[in-house]
Amino acid sequence: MPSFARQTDEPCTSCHIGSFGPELTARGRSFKLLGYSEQKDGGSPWWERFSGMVLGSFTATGKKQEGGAAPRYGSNNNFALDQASGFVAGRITESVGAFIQLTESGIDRRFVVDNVDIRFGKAFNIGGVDTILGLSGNNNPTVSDPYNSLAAWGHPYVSSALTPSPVGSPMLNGGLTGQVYGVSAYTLVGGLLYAEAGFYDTISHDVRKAFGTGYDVALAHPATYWRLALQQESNKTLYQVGTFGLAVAQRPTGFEATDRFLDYGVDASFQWLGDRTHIVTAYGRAMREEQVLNGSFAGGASDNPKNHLTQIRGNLSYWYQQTYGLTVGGFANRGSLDALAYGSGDAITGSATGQPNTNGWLAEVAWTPFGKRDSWGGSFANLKLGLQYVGYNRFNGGGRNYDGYGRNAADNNTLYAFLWLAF
Amino acid sequence: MRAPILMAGALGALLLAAPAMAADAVHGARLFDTECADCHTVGKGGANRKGPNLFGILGRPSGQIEGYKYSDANRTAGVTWDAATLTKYLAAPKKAMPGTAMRFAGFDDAKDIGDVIAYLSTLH
Repeated sequence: MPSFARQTDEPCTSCHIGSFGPELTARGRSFKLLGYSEQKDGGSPWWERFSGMVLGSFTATGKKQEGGAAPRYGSNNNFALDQASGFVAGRITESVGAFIQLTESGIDRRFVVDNVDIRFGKAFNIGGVDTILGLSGNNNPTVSDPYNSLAAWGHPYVSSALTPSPVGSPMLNGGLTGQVYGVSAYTLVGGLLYAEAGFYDTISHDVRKAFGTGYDVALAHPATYWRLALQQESNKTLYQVGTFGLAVAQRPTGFEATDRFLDYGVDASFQWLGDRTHIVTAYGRAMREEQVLNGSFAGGASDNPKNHLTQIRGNLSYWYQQTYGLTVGGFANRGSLDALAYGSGDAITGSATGQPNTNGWLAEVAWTPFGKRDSWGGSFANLKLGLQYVGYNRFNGGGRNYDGYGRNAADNNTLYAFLWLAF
Repeated sequence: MRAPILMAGALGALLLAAPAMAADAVHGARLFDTECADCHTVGKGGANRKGPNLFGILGRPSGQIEGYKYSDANRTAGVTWDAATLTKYLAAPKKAMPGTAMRFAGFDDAKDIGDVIAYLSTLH
């Protein structure tokens, strides 16, 4: 965030790959783990804690969406102000800081309390070993993670909201976002072992109404999140492998019986920064969700008492002079056959086969002209222009006529041009 | 019998000369600009930023810049920055000084460290 740059008097390139967030360098990960609280010598005034961003775009899909891509939007070739966000991001006091995002969605036309991460982080000498200990209060499992391989901060960092979304997504892919509050404790031991564990519970209905978030999450008891990672980093490289998971028990609306979800997965990160002229990064994760659907099955929302979902994602990026970037990636979702859970019977968003299986690829080129030490705008403003293409081989269980109304997976191929301004 | 002595002498001279030839202060300046200059200034009387000014760092005791808020680890380390201590520190700051506020990940190339130290030694 520009507020972090102003607070530390460091350029965006110090903490971010490609001169623009959210992809983090070693310096950026350290800044996050130490509570967003590091500042330039002599301190920074309170007004430097505020930042903003605006995201605008153009979206074109392979085939138009009859009835409109979204309320108030046309069937295809839509310009949009995707979102405007304000941030309170920076130091509160020594070792304590916050990242609080408030967003006005230009698509949904609603105001939302978006990502929240308020944390304490400090480095200690414990038995002669450098050890960071921290606490994060946040509203979204994985928002506290320091790597760019999990859902909250993984690529694509922006994507169109005016294109059909596949059915069936694991809970860790944002299923609880903004509807829960939680605390996690974390540590980085000797710069090698990262461990985090936390609990989440549902935010009250009245508070969610005020926050503008949804109401489809009703946890039967606190959800548990865990994260382990091994890393080896230097000024030029990062090697990271890890595992993560989330256990959720949710009570579907109107039913006493609960649905239980167990997410677990593995991930990896690689960064090679060299002398910053050529930068290569790669991230990947594979995740499985086991679903025990006592509530949904009894309530007629699922064909099966048990389902599963598997999701694999990966991407590879190259940056030249931290200004010109190219990313390619792939994704694949597979899951149980369940017509009640995935069928829907709707054109475009439904699944004629009752399966969530979706796979495809994406490519993105980006230009970030600012954000360097001697850039125009300094720590005041930064800009990213990008062109992203997502291609589907299979969508909601089929390649051709996946919805039963004649729509093919390739009809959802999406060209997304975006302008992302941060200040 | 003379040849082995001459060879030993030449080898000794080469070894003595090798560190000076290997350290490249010009390359060290470029590395400093890439890895260090976001947080440190080097000019005489330059401002402290996220990190302290490094003018005259070689031969200086740690934690001594007046007015700069050092970490407890740095302030109480009791080291004098020379080639040996800087070599150890720049390779792995958090290992050499656990709890340090300098969260730099460390150089993974020994020659790069030597070049940066060669550059720092010119700052006087």
